[in-house]
Amino acid sequence: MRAMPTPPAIVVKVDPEIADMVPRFLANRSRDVERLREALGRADADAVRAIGHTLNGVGGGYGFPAISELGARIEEDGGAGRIDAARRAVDELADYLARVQVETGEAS
Amino acid sequence: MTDGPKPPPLEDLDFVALLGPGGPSVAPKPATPEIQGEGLIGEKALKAEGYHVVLARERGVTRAGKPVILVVEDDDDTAALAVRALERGGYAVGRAKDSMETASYLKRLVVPELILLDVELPGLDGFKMLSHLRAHPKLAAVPVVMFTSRSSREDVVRGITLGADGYIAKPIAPKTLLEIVRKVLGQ
Repeated sequence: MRAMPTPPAIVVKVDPEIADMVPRFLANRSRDVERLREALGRADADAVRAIGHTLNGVGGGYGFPAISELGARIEEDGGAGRIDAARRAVDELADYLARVQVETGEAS
Repeated sequence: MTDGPKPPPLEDLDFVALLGPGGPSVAPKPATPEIQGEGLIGEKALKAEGYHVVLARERGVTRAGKPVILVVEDDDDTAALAVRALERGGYAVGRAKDSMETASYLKRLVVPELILLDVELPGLDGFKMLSHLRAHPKLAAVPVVMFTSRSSREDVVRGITLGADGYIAKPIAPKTLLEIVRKVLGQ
């Protein structure tokens, strides 16, 4: 049986001045995925919107604009009550977090 | 309501400067006669929550001579990023998570040189807090920079009309945040 190919890593370069803060930042985003899935499970669109809002606001500041973009989608879908669409964005966020690799240096 | 100076027409506000790559901007602080007379910071709202508010008494410089900035932000990661940037820029930084902690900080510690204020906060939101700050006789002149993902035209108009000195759209890089704070403080 052939093994599934490993998805390529997503390499992100972060500012050396905040590199020490990034592991905690990413761990908190993984917790956000858990909280989002719990909120989606109970169809709590407002909680989904609120967590998306935070993701939108914090991602780019740490050098992860993709997290802000996904957060904005989650916030918008949650605000509009689009639970299925929000779930897809949360899955994308989980995939991103599983693949992201951090390097220190000037952001590309 | 008493007559007072009218705020500038909204169409005169420079939204490009506020939201565009130029980012930092100090907007004129219009009078807001409709909120005059509400008293101390958040007095009505905070008293309704069972909190006693008193005037702050000192001015915002630490014993080491560093200007004090208060970051009002409920998200720990966002606050940590702002604190790191500001401390590396030579400021002493206080942090509050909501209106209650802000009132507690102002009661016990110093009046900051500048307040960096999130909009979406638990309890009293940033716009309401700004209204209360502007109505406070000893806090009305403290520069307030709104710091939020809520960057629609309506949100910016609301913040500036209420008397914000700047409006920063998140996410924002630490270096840019520092530049904006320095600009608002005239440094």
